[in-house]
Amino acid sequence: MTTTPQQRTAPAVQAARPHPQAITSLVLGVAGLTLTAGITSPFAWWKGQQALAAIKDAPDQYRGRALAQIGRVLGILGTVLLVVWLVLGFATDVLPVDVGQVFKTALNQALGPNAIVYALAAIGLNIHFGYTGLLNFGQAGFMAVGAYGLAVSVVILETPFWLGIVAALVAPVVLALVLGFPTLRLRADYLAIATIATAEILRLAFGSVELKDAFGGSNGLTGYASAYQDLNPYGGPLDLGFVEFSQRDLWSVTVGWTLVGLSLLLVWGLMRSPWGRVLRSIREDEDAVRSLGKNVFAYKMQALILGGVFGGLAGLFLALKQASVVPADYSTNITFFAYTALLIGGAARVLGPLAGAVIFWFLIAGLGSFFGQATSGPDPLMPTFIMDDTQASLVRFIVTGLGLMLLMIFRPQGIFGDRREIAIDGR
Amino acid sequence: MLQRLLTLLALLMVLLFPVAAAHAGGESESPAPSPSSEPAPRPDGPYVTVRLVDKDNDDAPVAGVTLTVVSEAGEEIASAPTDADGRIIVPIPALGVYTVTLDEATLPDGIELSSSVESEIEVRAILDGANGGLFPIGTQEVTTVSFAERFVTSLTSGIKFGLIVALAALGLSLIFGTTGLTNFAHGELITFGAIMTYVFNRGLGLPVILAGAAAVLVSALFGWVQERGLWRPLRKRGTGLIAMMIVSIGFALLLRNVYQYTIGSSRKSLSQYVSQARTDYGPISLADKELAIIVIASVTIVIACVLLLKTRLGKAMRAVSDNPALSASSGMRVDGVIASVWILGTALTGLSGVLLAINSQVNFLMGFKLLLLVFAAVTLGGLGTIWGALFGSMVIGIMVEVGPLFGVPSSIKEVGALVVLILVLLIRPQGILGRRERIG
Repeated sequence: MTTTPQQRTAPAVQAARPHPQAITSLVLGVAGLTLTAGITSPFAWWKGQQALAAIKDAPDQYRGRALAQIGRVLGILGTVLLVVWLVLGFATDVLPVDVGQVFKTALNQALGPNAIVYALAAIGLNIHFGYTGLLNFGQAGFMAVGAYGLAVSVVILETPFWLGIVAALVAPVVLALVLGFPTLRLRADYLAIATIATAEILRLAFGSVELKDAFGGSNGLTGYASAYQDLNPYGGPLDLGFVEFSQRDLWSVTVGWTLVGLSLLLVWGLMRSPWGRVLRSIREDEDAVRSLGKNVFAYKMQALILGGVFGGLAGLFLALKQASVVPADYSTNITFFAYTALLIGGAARVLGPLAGAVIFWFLIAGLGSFFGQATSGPDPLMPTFIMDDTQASLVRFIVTGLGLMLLMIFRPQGIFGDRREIAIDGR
Repeated sequence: MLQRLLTLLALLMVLLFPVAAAHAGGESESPAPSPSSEPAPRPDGPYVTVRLVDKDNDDAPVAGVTLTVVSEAGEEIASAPTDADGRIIVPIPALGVYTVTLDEATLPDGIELSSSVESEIEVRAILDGANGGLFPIGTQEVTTVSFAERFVTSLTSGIKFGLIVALAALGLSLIFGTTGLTNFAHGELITFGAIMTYVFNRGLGLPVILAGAAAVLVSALFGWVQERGLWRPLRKRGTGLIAMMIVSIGFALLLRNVYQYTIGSSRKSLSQYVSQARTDYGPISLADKELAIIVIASVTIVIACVLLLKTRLGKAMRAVSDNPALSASSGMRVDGVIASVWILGTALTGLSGVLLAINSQVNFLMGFKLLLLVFAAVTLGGLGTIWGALFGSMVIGIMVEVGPLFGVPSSIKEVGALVVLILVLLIRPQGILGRRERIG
């Protein structure tokens, strides 16, 4: 690797600069009053307070008092608004938004099958990106081959169900081998481009008209999940008041969280082993590991396969829980959302993917439900010239994009991560 | 717009009656005019049914043509070939507005669309059952053409497409060369140019040519603002290249959804040059706008290359891209050079979006769909080299358009280019014109 630009532009003497938390506070404050409907405002208040204190302690080191002040004031304003609308929403019928419903939807999604899919995918990415430093942007491809492994074997080849499960777990291994051989020796961004391209090739091929006989075209495949549903021991839906699951979802949730638990246990065990330590050292310094006589390529390949199998498991679970495999489900976005979930929780932490997936879905579903309600009905909370109900469904993705950027800039270690663990650079 | 809606509603009413009647009569046979056609099973929930008819041929149904149903969120729901009655039936996940597009490549042999009709319609799904739409197309006979003629035609459109890709690839390559950033938001910069053209053209009423020029300027400004507001502060913070790559993914997601928020998910046409008759130039027949696109793109690329090779600024850009530390220590303002690279790069990328908008239509996903092809082009030629980007783009462009002639399924013609990308990484990872050291 030659010199990277940021090394050369780093100033020799640390000049006075705006306190980072002042900027964070300002950003959170603005976000609180606009996109996130108050949720970030208390944090803006808190960060602003911290920044002001830090600037007061070292006035010659930091600038940005004004920024921190503005951030704090916006934060206070937003917090007041947040409290007001929470009280109004919970206690009265004045607001057209049922806040209890918003929280229920959010919690349902955070504990439901969708969060499980993302948790499994993110566990795989954690092995790739968090522990080994491999930039796999094609997790959607691994998920797709997992799902199609099951569906094609059962529906098209008419094999028994359990053989389909085996196929779903073998297919990602094959994909990892095919993908790994050309790209694992290359620099990280090449792997990123190659994997994202492979995932797109797979999605387009699975959805193509010409291969409709083998993969069902863009309508996908159905009719393989009856064996899975027959195993369902539950007799009826579950309603705990704050969450409720249908009979089918209840079964999926049971199977899914068990899978997540076992996977996390496996990752925990592996990463404490010598094998796991070699992976981490590859992430830190590949050449040093090579000089100790380890076969870096083989270790990377094993990591790619293992993470890919978790991706395949995610796809398999998605295929089982919704009883249909549709190529549109395996677009590039799912990879990036899984990355977002991983980075929220914290990469290179065993529980990071789990926490991240739950929080990600809580926020996504909560925002979706809130803005959905705020824009529907005869007299919506949000004027239609600002936002109609189609636009309301986009707000959460705008927030996701913004969140991913801010997370990577200000807190790349996520909520629970350790900054030293995730000292990623352009390797 | 209103008129279109009314027409659509009228069509819907006409169409709904037979379907509703079929439903009222239990599971009775749907009235199929052609006895040979099997009645397709009706799904339980809401579904969209579209009938493709040829209005130049007494509204005869057109069979065997692939129609694709896309949701408002831009998600592809399904694509299916029309049955003998010219009909497709597609179950939909939710009510809403769906766009149905037609794959021209699957039209029966010897028939092409008469250029006056668009190849898509919108269907408003408001009922929890059938939501019908009529898809009238105009067709004209094509005289059967020889392989050589078809080859020349696809070669020409390949060159056109390659030149558009080349503009974007040049931008990507310049930015990568000087800053090391693999910019996943580059596709959204292409879309930015197209959307700005649309905004200036339809919103402010400028003629398309002026609107395009303005869009290129705004793109350049957007690049400068991005560099000053986002990427330079990140470099100063010492953010790693991979972290920046992930930031660019978040930025892409943000921009893409903001685009959809503002202009919606349907495809939009500019006010001029939408459909033009083709003129024959020897064996090639080109519409005026296609000729203009080829000329504008080639001239711009030549100017950009001369700029990079001959001017002081160009030399500085190449120096910084070659060895930033050495250029900084020889007294260059590296930050200034990087800012100019961003301005030039986004202007070129914006121009590719403008040309793409003029060539077809404006859509919030257009750049994202092109992104991987641009990556493929740049990797094929060699990341960070200018000639490589140009060469790679032409190869990718021609391969995408000529591929279907040699048996690549036309519904996935982009796949060929992506496969080549993977093969290049396997055989010669530094790209055809790249240098070994760049791959690390």
